[in-house]
Amino acid sequence: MKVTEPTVHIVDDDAPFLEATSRLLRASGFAVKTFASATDFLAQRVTDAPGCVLADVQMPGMNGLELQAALAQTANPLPILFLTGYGDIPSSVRAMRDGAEDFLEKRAAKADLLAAVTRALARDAREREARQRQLELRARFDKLTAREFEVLGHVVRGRLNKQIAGDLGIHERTVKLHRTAITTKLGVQSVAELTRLTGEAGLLTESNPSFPKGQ
Amino acid sequence: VLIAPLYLGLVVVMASEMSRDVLRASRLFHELRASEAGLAESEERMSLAVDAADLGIWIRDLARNEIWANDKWRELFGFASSDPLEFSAILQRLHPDDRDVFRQANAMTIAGPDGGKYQVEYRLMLPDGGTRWIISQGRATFDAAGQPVLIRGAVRDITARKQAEQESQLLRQEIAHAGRVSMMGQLASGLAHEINQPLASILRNAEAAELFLQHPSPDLDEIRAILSDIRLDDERAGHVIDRMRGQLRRQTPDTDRLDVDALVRDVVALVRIDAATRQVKLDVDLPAALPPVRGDRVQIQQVLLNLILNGMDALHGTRQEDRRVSVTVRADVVAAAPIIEIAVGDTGHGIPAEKLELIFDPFFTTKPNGMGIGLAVSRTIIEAHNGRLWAENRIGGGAAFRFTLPIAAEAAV
Repeated sequence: MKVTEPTVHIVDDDAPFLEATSRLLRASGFAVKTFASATDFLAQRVTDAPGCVLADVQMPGMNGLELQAALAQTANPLPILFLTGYGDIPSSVRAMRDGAEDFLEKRAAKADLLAAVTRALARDAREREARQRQLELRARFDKLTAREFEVLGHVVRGRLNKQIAGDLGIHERTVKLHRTAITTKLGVQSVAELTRLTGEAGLLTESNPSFPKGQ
Repeated sequence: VLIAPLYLGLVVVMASEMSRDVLRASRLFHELRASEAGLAESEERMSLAVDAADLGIWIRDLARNEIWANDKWRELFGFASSDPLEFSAILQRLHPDDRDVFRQANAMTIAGPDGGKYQVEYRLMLPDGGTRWIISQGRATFDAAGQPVLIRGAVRDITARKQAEQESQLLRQEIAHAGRVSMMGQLASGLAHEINQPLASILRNAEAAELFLQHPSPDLDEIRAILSDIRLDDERAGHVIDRMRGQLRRQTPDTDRLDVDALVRDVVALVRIDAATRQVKLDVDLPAALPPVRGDRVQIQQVLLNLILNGMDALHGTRQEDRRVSVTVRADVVAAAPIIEIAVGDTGHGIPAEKLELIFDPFFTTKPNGMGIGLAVSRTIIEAHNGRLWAENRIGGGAAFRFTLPIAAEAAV
């Protein structure tokens, strides 16, 4: 992955406002890219670039909320900050519910705008790191065999080796061998650490079909 | 207001007839008198015609510096039958603001640049302090040497017509004002957005410039570009303000029971004068016993007035005999709901198919001085009344604008 500076992507169909906002953010030390429409942004952006999006809600063609929905479907869902000409309550409610970082009036105080951009970039950095860690974790879990995965499911639910052997119809010794393989592959020392890691990787969920329900 | 078309008709007839028949009659009158032939029968017929037309007749003999006038003229100008008539005394009876017009008309007639004819309208100051409007038409006669000998003229009291015109203009202003007021509501949010945009740009540019200036070696080109953009955005906001100027505050529309017949007739009476002036034939088809609708009288009249005036505008450049605007009203049932449909058709050039919807967009106009809001406002008004307004081209040529209004609920039962 290419390392790039976090960038504020400004999307607005009003060219003078686009340029003015870009200047302010550049003058404030941010890296900025401007786009005249949501479709331009989706087509031209560096797909894995870190940063955030500052978008006008009211735009001809794809509007800000549609952009938010489209961005959420991508592998790099940048935090989105909305700008609006006038307080549009239904739009802002929907945008915030769908996870918008913030909703600002176009003439919001500079301090509020800069703070919101800073927060959005921090959130992106945080989420990016979490996503990266998830990927690494998943890569580690991917090394487990199907049987080891099955044993892991029982272990993290606190079942004893004897119980696991009974459940799976195997020898207790075989369960121990599986557990050693699991801790080696995942690089963990304790059951507590194993449980935490599994949770972080998003694998210990009710909806995950790999894990049989406990009794 | 209904008096106006009657008077207008009379005046139009008068204007064309006066120069021929009446002046011919007055000339005859004078010649009879001059020859002293005493053809009693002809004189009787002549004075009958003049009386019937309610005309004041006067003759100014330039050679002898004498003025003769009939009784009607003396009555209109406030001279007794025994009073001697002098030009300066007559001039004194005129409204001070209109004396120049009168003098110029006389001078022009004598100089004869326009064949020695004139027609003017002026006000008389009545002894009771009132004002009387007069239309005056006359013609000079020249001798063989080209010197003016006589001026003959006829005058008529047009006070009632003038009053009707003024009333009609006031009413029209009232309706137009109501239109501007309701238009404001529609435009307010759009304009607020439009003005906010340049203001936001100005703010961000100013903030950016301040930050750039804090730099040890500021990029002056950047700052120059910023200042230039601030100026442009200021102009942008100014244009929006210009458009808003003259717009007034919003009012809540009334929802009265409205008699469709009276509503349409009032508007038609308002535009009769315009129609006659523009030589447009205005046809009105109003069936009897139409059920009432519910709404704001002034707003709906504004829509109808707007559509009729548009219809007349659409006739620009067509042959006079083809210039017709029709107003057709009918009751109908659409989707089980009883409605009134009012259609305004014209015999103009129609509307290109791709523009049939576009013409309702705010600021879309085909007129050189149009703001492009009449139809947008009209549609807003009709939709606020739960009706529809649309345009279509007529099979025989020309366009038709139709709008519907739901029939007042209790009337529909």
